[in-house]
Amino acid sequence: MRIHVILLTFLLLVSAFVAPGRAEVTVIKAGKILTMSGEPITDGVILVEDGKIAEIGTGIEIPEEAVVIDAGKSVVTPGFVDASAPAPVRGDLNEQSGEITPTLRISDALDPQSKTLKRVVQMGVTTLFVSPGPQNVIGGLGVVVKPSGKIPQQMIVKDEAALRIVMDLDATQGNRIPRYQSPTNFYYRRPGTRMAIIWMLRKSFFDAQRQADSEQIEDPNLAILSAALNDEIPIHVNARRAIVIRAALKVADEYGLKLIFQECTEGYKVAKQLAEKKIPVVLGPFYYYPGNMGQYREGRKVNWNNAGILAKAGVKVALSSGEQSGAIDMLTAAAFAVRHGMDRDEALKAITITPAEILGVAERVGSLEKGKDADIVILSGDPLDVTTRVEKVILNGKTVYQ
Amino acid sequence: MSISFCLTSSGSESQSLAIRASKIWTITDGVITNGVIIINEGKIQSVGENIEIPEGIRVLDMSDKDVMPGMIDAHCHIGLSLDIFSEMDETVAAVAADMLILDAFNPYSDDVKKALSCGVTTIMLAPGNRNPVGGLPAVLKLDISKANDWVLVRAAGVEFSVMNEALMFDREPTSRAGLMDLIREELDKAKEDKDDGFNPTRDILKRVVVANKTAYIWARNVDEIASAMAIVDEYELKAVLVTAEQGDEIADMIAERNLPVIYPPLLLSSRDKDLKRAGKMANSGIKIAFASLTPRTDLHDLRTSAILAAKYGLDTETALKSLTINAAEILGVADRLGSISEGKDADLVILNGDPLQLTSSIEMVLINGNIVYQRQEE
Repeated sequence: MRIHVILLTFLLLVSAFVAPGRAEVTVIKAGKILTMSGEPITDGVILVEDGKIAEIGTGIEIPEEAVVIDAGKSVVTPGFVDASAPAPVRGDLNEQSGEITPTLRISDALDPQSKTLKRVVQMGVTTLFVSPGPQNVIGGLGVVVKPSGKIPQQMIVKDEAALRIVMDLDATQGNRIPRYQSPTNFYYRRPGTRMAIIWMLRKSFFDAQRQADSEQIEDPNLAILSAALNDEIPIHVNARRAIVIRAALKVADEYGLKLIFQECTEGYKVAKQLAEKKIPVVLGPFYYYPGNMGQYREGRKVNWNNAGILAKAGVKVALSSGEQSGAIDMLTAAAFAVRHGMDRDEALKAITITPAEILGVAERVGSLEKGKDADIVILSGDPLDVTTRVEKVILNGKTVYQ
Repeated sequence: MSISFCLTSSGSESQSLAIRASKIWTITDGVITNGVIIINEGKIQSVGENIEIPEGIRVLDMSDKDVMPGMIDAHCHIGLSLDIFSEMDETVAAVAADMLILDAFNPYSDDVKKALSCGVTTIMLAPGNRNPVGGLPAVLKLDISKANDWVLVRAAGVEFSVMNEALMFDREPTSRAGLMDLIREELDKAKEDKDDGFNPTRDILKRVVVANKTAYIWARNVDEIASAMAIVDEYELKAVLVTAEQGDEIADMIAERNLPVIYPPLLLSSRDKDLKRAGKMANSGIKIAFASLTPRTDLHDLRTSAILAAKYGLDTETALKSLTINAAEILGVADRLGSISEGKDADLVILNGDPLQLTSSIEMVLINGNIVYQRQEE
């Protein structure tokens, strides 16, 4: 008799779980939906099927078998996109054995169990751009990932999303021979100065250009560089100071490169040129952790009006965490930008659809539209209010944080 | 109690020997109770319940004891040097595919005797995991009395490592992305099959990429296993995962690719969660074999790992297999070792109880029918 009872309960439990699972339809009701692609929807409904948004708007019929998440009066936004995220990688981000390493793929080093991923999800970030470390002149290929999946391959949204170039003095770090020492270490090499950084950059693209004339490119490094020359792979340049940005623009002119600037703390000084050339920028955080080596802190004095000035000049601006884990969350960054002169809608777009466009993944993430991935953040109130918190994060239709 | 070793019994090989035992754990054919094993010229001539012992041959009466095949340690670094960690990896160059670990092996070391006393008769002697491409492991028997016969395979495959341990601060690679880039670069060059003179490294890697020689890939955590699987998929390698400790998290993917796993030792001090992993992996259809990784772990006793795994969810049959036949199959010596069946080498372990009981101890170890270890009580 007892066995029968247990069996019955078991069957009931199973059927209770199986029935809604089979349909895989989730419905989110919210007081306000900020779609980022059009006007906000009041008292709207989002229908999620198989991890995608099947329907969005008002007055949508809710299927009977659907799981309903009633967010009440909450505000719903797309999952945030961090275009310069802290890397979920164990070990060193920098391959320090060389300065020009275009074939390096940071996607090879991703750790799906990283705590960084859990932390960014809690802040509402559902798409991250991860790139190799900043200590090489040409660091390698970055990748756009989502913080879900058991193995790295399941996380990837877009591999080879961008080639990383660093023109700040970070790239010279550790390269100089200390006084009274002989150059026995493999770190002691070019570049040790900014002119050497730019020289190396010129040289690599020069080599790539010359190779491109011959029919077959044997060196895989040059193959990647010529793909970048032909605009097949976007180029992300880390440049903080105005002088570095100008130098980058010059090199870009010489080789006809299309650039995207990262960090760009002094971007406001060259806002006009950036707007003219239609170069998008991914701004770093509003606060940098103090480093211990003075020379590498160069260009880390942040002008808080930067985002506002750039946006008003007509530059496409995305806000990011600047690879600093826990430095600032995306919503605070947007609120900060608004406080210092950025338009409200623009600031919210700068953490959602704009970075998605810059990264070339806007067809899947960045806004709440039919057919896009169901990456949804439910907030307790106005996104730019300090007291607002992230209530729930839905990634590919599944609740990953509550 | 003292332990004595008789490593100089080479004269007895040509003689025949019969062993009478209470239980014979054949591994492949179940358990034979009150059976007899007849050994001739170092091989098992016959095994079974009702076998007549020919007149005049030597009989070992072990009728209150259990017999199992000699255990195979699927990965260890014994007998290299006193300072093991400096002798395991040639870390000056990242790609050391042409290094033979056998060249550094000392068969007379104390480690070898310890391993024998734990019932290990065959080992895979392997380079360490601090090089992306580490060198050539060897499969050997721990009985050196017959000089030519103890090395079963001189170069059994090539060791790779995609672990963080393979990263250095004074040579490439220094990052995981760089490590993968380096391995891909080397394998690509090997695949290209360009004739560029004398290049043993390339020749050996060519055997891995083109001729399906086994790649032993060190990978412990999930991300490392994923890296290993990426390499295996891209180059269609025949591979074995070494120390895939967290493999149970992605067991389905490992099983799908038919990758065997050489599993690191389980310790009494391990957490329950970790002790359950081996069982979970075996239950998902992954072939596992235990390795001691000595002296890295300072644990010669391979049997303890199997006992703990059996306690935490591995079924006893598979636990015994993972000490013997599974390892033999993974290392490619299953035609000679791994079970008590006719025609195989007479490498036997005699215990005073069930092999999967912590309390039963090893009484005697035979390699090729010679007694190489005998427990003595005073």
